[in-house]
Amino acid sequence: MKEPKKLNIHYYALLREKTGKTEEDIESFATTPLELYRDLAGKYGFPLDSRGIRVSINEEFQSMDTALCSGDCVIFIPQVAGG
Amino acid sequence: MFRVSNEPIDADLLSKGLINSSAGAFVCFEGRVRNHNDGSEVVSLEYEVYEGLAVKEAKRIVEEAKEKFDILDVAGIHRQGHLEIGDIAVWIGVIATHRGPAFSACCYIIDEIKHRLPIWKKEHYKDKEAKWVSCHEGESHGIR
Repeated sequence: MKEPKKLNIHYYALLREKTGKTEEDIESFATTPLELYRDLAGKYGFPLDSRGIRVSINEEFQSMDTALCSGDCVIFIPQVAGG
Repeated sequence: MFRVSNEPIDADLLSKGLINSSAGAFVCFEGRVRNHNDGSEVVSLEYEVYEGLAVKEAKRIVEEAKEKFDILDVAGIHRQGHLEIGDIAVWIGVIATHRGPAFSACCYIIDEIKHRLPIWKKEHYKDKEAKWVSCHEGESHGIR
């Protein structure tokens, strides 16, 4: 049987406010950041449209269909507005 | 050099750090907190930064600028935390032998920073609830 992956997730800005936390460790069967985002969106009420969302895995930008591995640090990045 | 700061930005100090006897041009961009956006009165701003990735990506942008333009050095800093109207939110300085590449590189760097760095801005308004603002809302009105 497939084992869940242990993931460390950090939250910033809108997503931090929605979850009420800056980070959490979870176990997930999601295989990609896109699947993980959809799970979390259902749980915490994140914006359902993931098109403007980017993802960082282990401090590097990655695509939303990258394969997740146990131990990954995942950060979803909603549209940014620096400067 | 690029960093993120919790403290007010000292532009004079930063510009004095950009010293090179070959530099005939120094160009800087200073982004300040303004008191309005899209017809609403803004009273203050809050910046949140994913610092590890922001600094890494900013260094990539600076390296790209050095490859694209004939420049000598770059310094940059972005604030995080709560800022008041008039505060400096971001500062980019470029030195080059000639002014053309210095202007071009400074423009390239601030544009890329605005689009690529994981930095979020929450606007606090006089008459309505505060909200996180996306860069795409700014884009619909041209470069800001």
